[in-house]
Amino acid sequence: MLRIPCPHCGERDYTEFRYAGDATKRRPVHGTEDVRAWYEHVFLFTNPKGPHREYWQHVQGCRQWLVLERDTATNTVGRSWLARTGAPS
Amino acid sequence: MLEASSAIAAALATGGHDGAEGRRRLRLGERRGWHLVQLGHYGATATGFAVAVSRVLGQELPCSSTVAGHAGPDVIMRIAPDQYWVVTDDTGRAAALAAAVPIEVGTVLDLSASRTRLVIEGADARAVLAKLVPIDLHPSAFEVGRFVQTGVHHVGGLLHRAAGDRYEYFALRTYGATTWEAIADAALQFGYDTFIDGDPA
Amino acid sequence: MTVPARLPTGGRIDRARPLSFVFDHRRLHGCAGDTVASALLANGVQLIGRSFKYHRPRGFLAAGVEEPNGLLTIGEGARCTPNVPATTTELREGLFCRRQNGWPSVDFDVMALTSWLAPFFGAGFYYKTFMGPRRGSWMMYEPFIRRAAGLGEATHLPDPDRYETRHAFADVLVIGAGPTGLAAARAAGRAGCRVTLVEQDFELGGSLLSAPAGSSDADLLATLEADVAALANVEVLRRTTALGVYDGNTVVLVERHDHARPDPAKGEAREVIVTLRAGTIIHATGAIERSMLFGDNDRPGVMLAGAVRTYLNRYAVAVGQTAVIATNNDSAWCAALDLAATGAHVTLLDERAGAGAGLGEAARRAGVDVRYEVRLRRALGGRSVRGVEYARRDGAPETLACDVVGISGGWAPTLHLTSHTGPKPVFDTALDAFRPGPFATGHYGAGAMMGTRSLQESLDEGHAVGAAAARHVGATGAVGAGPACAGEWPTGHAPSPPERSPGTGKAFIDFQNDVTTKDVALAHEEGYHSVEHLKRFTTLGMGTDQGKTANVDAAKVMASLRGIEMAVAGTTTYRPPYTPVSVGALAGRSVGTHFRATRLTPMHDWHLANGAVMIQAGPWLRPWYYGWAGKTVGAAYVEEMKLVRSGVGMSDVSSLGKIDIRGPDAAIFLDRVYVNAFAKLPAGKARYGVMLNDDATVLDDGTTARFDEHTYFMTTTTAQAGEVMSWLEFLLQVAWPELRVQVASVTDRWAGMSVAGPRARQALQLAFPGVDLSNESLPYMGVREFMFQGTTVRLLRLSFSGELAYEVYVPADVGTAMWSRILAEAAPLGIRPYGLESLASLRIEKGHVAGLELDHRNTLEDLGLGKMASKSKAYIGRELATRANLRRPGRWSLVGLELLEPTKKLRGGSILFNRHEALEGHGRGYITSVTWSTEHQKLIALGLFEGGLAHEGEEIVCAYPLRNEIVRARIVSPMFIDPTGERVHA
Repeated sequence: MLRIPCPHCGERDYTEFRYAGDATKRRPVHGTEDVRAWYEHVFLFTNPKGPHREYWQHVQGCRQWLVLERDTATNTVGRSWLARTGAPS
Repeated sequence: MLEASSAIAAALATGGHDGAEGRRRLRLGERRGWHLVQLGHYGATATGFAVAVSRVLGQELPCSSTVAGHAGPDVIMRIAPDQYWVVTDDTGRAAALAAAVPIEVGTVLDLSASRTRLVIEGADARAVLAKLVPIDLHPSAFEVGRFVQTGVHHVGGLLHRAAGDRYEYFALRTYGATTWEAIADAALQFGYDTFIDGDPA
Repeated sequence: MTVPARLPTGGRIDRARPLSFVFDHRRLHGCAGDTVASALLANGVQLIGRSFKYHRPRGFLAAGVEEPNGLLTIGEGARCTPNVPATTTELREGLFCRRQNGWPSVDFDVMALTSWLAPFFGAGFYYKTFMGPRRGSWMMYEPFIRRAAGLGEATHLPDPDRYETRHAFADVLVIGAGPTGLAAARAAGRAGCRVTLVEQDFELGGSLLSAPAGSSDADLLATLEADVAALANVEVLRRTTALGVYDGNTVVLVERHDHARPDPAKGEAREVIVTLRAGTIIHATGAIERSMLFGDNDRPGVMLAGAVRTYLNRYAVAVGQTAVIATNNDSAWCAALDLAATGAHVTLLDERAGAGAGLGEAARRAGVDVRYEVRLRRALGGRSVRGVEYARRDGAPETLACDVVGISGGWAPTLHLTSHTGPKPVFDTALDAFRPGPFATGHYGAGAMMGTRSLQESLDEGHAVGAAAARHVGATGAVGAGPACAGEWPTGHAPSPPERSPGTGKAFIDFQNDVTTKDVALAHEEGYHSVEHLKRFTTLGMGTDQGKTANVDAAKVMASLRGIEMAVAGTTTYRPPYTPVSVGALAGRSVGTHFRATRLTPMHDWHLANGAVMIQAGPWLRPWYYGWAGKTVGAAYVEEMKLVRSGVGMSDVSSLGKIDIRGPDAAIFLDRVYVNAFAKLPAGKARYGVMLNDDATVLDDGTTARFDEHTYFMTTTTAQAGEVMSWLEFLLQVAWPELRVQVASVTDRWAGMSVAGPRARQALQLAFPGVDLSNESLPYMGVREFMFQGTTVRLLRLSFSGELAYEVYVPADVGTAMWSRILAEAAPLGIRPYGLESLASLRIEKGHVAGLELDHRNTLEDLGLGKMASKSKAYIGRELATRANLRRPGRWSLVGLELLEPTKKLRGGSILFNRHEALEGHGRGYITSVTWSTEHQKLIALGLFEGGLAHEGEEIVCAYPLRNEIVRARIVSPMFIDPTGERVHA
């Protein structure tokens, strides 16, 4: 039972959240006409074994999107922060 | 006037239930006659928003994301970094807040009737809730005034410890009946009486 | 043997509380504090079952969870539970139990003949037999094998008991309440932590429970229990097994309440699954004794030496009068000495050259006959042991008569839980056993589970980890000194031989699955070398006991055959549950109506009271059809459709997703999200919109209304409401946080009802006198918000059905009142409610795409909506929509279909083919929605077809292989009615 630290609500069971994928990529600016840039953003992932940053949304809680540090090999959870505020230094 | 109805009218009508020892140790009920206003601001307008809202409420907005604030009899809860709930009996609250908060600064949304407000009261309230919500309810972790947004049966709702042994659960209205059933079922072994608070009728 | 074996004094049973129970239809007697096993042994019952494969007679090997043989069926009728270990079942008044796996009875079992055929039933025999005479022959043998296989038989009756789940939290979870666990809980509790101590037994004490009454061990237990009970912050859960350890320091426990006779009608649960999230976890789970590998080591009366001692000291049962104790370590000497104290004649056979200090002298004083450097070769006897054969290395075998054999091959740490998420076990050569690898932060192990055999060391370790765990969670209370024991345990031991002793007779390793040393050799010979392969090939360790007494020996025998070190051989991966758990407990309250949350519309009670037949649509319960229209759905929906097309009907559309979107940048936001223009939508108007995923597939469609410059009201399909909400939140929080927009779900805030049909305007004019609803005032796609009798009403002139129609939204608490009002006021027009079936049918006739057409792979063009895409603004999905594959002319796109064979049916999901081609493969499309058209009086459908409307007018074939149906249909426009939209604009 993964326990995820929500920046607003505190640590909760992962079942309160919805997993939403790779958070390491930058979304192209809206209106970018470069089809290749959109293709890479939507379809290509590095899928690392080890430390990763990913999006989760606290759907049963505050509805906030957060970025979570998680090791994909050990399932160890690290820090999290609101997606809109960016990583803490 | 159009007649208001409750999402759990049928369930409440069946009344209480004796528990394992033949007693009724809990009170389960519904709080009616209340209104819900959801407030929000934008990234850059937090300060202006707080000023405008506190003028109407008569005091500062709470900063805490875990403990409810109060403005007179109203309960104020910060449900997201940029969103607040005002739980009030005052029918004019939503309009007063809408008038005070310009759209450039924030939003005021009347969400009345969107939630069913269930009440669980009694010494065993904690034991009942522990069957349903994946939250640490120990008094050292869940003091009076604390609120959490969590899920019962994978449906989101808000639990507020209104007083020592009194908990209120704000369920989505369309899930009100099914949530009541889950709580009543969990309370079966303790036995419960039902009640309605605040019915305008 | 039928001589009652209960001793007149001693033990921890309560002779003042006698209990009677039924065993194989015989009434027997025991005491409070007995297990079913101890009570049976007290009554002289030794033959307890027949083994799985060979049907050999078996008795109890052990006294705890590691018991492989003593599985009984407990309970009758609907409460009948097979394969329950009698060694862990608390005796209660009136308990009903019986033996398993013997026909016609365990005492006289015909199936024992399989023993004679044993050479053909070696490991893996089923991989090599039952294969002929031809392919598929297995199905011929299967019923017989199925009947012969297994041990107990389960009931088919529904479980009448109640099971629950609950959530728990603790700073420190201590697993195991033996001396180590009690010391740990004591320390952590004194430090001020919230401690939960779990013990699977009904008594605390673990190994201390096997000491004689009045001993220093018994006194220590009493002190420890009192110390822990005095700490209010320590919660002690007896009869609670830790089943598994998971990520996030979560442990799943099962609490058992059978002893208290829970009454389901009173809400009392038989078992409770507890999901406990712990700050730290202390594993104090002890060790399990190992058996020995000699011929016929499975005879009834051959037991683990520790079990002999437990039955004696805890349950006051002397399992024999003439005992042989065989061992390679000191601990079994305690069993020998305690047994001798009852007057039994005891011979002790030690594989070693000498034992721990003082033991030899104690044995002499007790009259125990000791022989060193000898090894058991064989147990003699059939349904009951009557002697043993033993020998020195290279010496001639000698025999001894006996009626019980206590064996001890060493102790294996009970490390299963530690390896669920944690380190792989490592082999400790000095210990001759596996120990846990290094723990992660916040996990601790102590006592026998770590290989410690000394009692004082175990207490010290328990105390130390309790204090360490407390420090880890930041508790600062003083823990004081750890407990001290007055009498130490003998700890000497030697490694077990890595092969069975020489001689004849089967040497069993896994008793439950009848796996012998010969089977391990066979596996090795066939190349199944790794422990994981050994396990699957021989089934060793796959029984209900999971090989708890067998795993170390299995690994040692195989390692020896392979000529490798044990560290290299390793052990199999342990997985939850640690012991078997009821399926009922795992289901908890998620049964019957509680299985899932049900979502009801505000008018639900009205529907039920007025003849609606309801249907499940996702989590929602919606009216399917109404009784006024017909007795079956097939008849009713046609009547309802006719009413809407010719008069006026009203349908409950509250389940649609509704989202409030407001803010200075709301217009920009919607322009980016929808493919069509929304920023310039005038206030007071609504527009049908489609939104795409980034990859240009259609995410959802709906109608969004603009109520004022900054306020929009979006509707989504019922099914996609949650998806869309999360998507909008993602865009505002992650992609475009600079936009000044707030969104909120208002699905629950508004009750919605659709009033549709040529008389819809008249109906609403009657319901809202004084509100101007003329075509000029509220044109098609217009929206209005007004107050009516103190309530806010939102009126949207939208049509899903293709008729003149309006959607009325009011706050949910007055939904039923408004619904009733409209029906009452418009009654003179013949208004009636209509349900989901006809709602869907009407929109199919109109050619509106809905959930069934949106398959998350198709694009705007595929659905015939390509013209909606704006050419002047950027929208999500625009770029990837240009990909060549999404623009191929042969893509499957939206068509209408009409059935050409009136006597046949069209079915949703049918695969479409051209007229004269072979009906194979993927076909050229499929049918998405079907309905009866009241307009055209025939069955029509919507579907996706290769090349779409380029084939309009062509005849094709619809195949439904599940029912072997093939019908002919024609491709037509999907707009079956009113293609110019006259009706909606009326």
